[in-house]
Amino acid sequence: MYHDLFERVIGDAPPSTVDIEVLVCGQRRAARRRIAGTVAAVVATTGLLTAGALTVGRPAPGGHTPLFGVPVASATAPGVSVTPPPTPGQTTYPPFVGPPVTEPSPAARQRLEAAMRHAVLAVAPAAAFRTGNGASGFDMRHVDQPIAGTPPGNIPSFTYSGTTVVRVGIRQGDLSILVARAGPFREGCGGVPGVATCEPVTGPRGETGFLLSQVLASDHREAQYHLWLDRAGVDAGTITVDLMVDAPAGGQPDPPLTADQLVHIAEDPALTLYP
Amino acid sequence: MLRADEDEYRQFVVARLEPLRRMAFLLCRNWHTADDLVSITFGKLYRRWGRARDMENLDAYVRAILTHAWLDERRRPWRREDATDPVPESVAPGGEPPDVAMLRRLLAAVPPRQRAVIVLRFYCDLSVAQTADILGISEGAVKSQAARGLEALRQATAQPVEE
Repeated sequence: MYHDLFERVIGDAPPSTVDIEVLVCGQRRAARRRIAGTVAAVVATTGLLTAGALTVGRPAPGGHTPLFGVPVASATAPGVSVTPPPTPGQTTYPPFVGPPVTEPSPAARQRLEAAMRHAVLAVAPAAAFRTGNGASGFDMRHVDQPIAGTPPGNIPSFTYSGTTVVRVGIRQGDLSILVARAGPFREGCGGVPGVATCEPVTGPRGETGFLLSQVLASDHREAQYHLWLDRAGVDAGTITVDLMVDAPAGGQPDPPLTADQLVHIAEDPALTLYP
Repeated sequence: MLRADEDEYRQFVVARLEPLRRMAFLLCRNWHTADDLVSITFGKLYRRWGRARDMENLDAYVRAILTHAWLDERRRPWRREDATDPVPESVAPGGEPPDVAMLRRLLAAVPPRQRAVIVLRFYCDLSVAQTADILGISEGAVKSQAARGLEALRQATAQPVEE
């Protein structure tokens, strides 16, 4: 009955600033960040996704392969030995290879956030960061709690993770860096759906790991690059670097960081739980 | 979300964009904030689309999200506005019709929850029960909070009204 009166109070509406496509893309990214953050934290600390427990020993041949460079013929990377996955409930513990982390959490968050920015800027000086709250930097989280389903002995998950939207020029992607305590587990490419490439990686200090690229959508418009680096022999930690990229309309994913840059970020000695 | 679901979601929000902006404007009286509220509403709807899409009255659900988004925003310290602020006068040449001015003054003068009641009841044409359900208050509270708005609207339109 009063609708017309209300409409006259509203008057002529200015053009909307709500962009549905931007909103949908933002929600997609947020959903992926939530999923990737949760999965990566669990993977990095418990090895639950070691469908094919992987031992990486082969040095990377002459630098690193471009992202999406080498298709994998099977779910297992070449040049690796595969051992059966541990029987559930019979995994050998203690879970961590290093001493307990004594640095207070607030100090560690601050230090690692600065280290993450520094590590990225060292390989991409023009990089800009934006968190979900609009801040310039990384959104830091800390997980330090027992994982349900693990044997008695208080097997904790211990990870610091930083997430941000990184932009280099016109390219941008969702970047997550996880710094976790190293355990007896190994990640692998086996069992991971949508893997396009999987390459072993060896760092200058003996770090070992792998770099995989993954297509997340059937139309190839979303891609994820996942680098896992075991630094157990260096500083009792593991580093995981995830980069998720949306393709522009009619294009293919164009990541803001190269594979080499992701590896250099993971090798940054400042990304450690033992400063 | 699957592509098909996302397309369905996109169709829904595109169709509801303008009506929700106008409702949001009545609540907050600011087009920038109205757009922010609609964005928040659509974001929440995206995350809940799997369950929401099959709701019997999806429009009421979306209005509820929008209303609560606004009430939540109003609780933030930097968003608080004093409900007793003087009402800005119209600067339109020749002024605006008395009924429009009266409703504008009413919306500016009442506190947020009462404003929500007025908008839901008399702009969205929801029933007392539906309004109470969205705001999580009793039907009696809706009636009492709508009373002042109802009286103002009666005066503005000079028409008899059935509650």
